[in-house]
Amino acid sequence: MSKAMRVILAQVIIWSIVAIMMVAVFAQPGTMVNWGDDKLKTLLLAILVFLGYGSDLSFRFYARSKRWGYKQDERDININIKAVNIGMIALILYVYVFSIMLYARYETAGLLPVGWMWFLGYSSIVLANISIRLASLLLYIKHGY
Amino acid sequence: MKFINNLKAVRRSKIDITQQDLADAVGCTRQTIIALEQNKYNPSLILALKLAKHLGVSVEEIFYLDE
Repeated sequence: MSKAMRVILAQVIIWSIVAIMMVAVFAQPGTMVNWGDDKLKTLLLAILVFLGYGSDLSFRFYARSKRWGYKQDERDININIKAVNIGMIALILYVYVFSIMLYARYETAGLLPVGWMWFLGYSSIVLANISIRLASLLLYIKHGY
Repeated sequence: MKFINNLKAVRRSKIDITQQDLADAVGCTRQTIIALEQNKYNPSLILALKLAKHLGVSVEEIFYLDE
């Protein structure tokens, strides 16, 4: 496995952990309905996203250090560009489908719990990060790693 | 038309260097040289020119279109 693939695999693992913890926070009973009353959960999710990007950033610094000797070339950049395209399409589809589902679910009620909007926002960030890295992994497997 | 490359054959016949040495010489990774030799990646023009220059052949000797 190349160093580029190892970096991406580590990022997938980091963001998957963030995703699991995020879902665990939102899965607590009454979270969606009583979102505005619970500042602790808002803070917890902000910390989770910060941890995701923070560990991502620190891992990148480590990967690019002379000790590890990781370097990117034109093929890596091409794969990254394709992966971002795929990830963005996945994100657009996710937001569209999720929004439609929320609309269908709460159409008759007339009101939508604000917790769902927070969930959509946070899950979009996490999904974008995971889908881009997963697309990179698949492209590396397809085009040689 | 299919993009074909003879990089592996040219690399071995002309100067017989390792994939890592060739990668270092042209400024790419060994994985890219492997992908090129397995026909899994089409190089940029600048990489193709660097490879040809380093191997001492014309670009057409390494890369061509199969019609």
